[in-house]
Amino acid sequence: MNSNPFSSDLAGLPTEVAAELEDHLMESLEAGLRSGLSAEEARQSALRSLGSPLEIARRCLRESDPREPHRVPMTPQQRVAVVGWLLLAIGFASRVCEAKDPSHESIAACLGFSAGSLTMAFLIRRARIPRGLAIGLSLGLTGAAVVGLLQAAWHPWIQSSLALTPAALTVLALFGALSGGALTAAPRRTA
Amino acid sequence: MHSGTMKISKDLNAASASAIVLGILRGGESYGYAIVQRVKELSAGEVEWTDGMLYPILHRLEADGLIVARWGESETGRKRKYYQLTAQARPVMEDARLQWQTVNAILHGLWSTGDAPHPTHPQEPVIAPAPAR
Repeated sequence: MNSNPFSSDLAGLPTEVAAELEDHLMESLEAGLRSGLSAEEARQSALRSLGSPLEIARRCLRESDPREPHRVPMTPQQRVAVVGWLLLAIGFASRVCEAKDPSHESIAACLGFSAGSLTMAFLIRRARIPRGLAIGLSLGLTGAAVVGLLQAAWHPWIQSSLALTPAALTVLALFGALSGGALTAAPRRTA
Repeated sequence: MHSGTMKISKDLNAASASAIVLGILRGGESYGYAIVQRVKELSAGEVEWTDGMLYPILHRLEADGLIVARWGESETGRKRKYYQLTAQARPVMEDARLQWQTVNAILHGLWSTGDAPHPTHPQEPVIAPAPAR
């Protein structure tokens, strides 16, 4: 068996909290094995008993230092998604500055996408939204961006600004999936 | 008497958790998993903590200076964080004990079967009907 079967569950947590939770999970796992559960059943049972490690880490940090209530650990996937949405926000907003003579609709679309991207980054950072809403927002916004790109055929300004290519569409679709995953993997409130 | 399926409510759990943790640590140094097991053992399963609920409490008590932590090793060589009470915890625990005893005495007086009517309100207890929906 892997020496630490919980490494992926504790990834991204502050070292000390992760070490403490790992000890707890391993004790719980060993108790499960002693009671006759299989390795995987014991692992799942330990995780269920503990609750969300990310949420526990968040609350531990808040209790240790109430002056920093927003110092929230994120998983690597969440970090990538937040950075991606921030880059998209900057990218959309910069179109307005670079365009020679954009229409009002184009400006509104770019600013709308930019605001949406910032919202997505914020929501992933806060990680406190219901799963259904998270999936809906992620798919909705990336879907809207894809539609925006597809319409480039009859909106030359968008085409020149956003560089519609199959590769760009693929990257955007992959990013949408990653972002949705980051949101659905976001910690929930424990009971 | 309660039935075998009674569970302590979430609010009461939250209110009593710190006092319970301090009470357990009064018996000596301990660590997260052992504290949770001790709570389950003492309550015969009626206090339903998610295991993870303990750690924020431990961190708060540590930040408040009521407990201190040290890193040690388990029997199998794993890193383990042990907690123990500080001198500062003693008056806080005594205060908590008095508060819980007061609440317990009030409720015991109200709910005990041979309870005499209150001297200033000797009338029969009045139970208001449930509000109409």
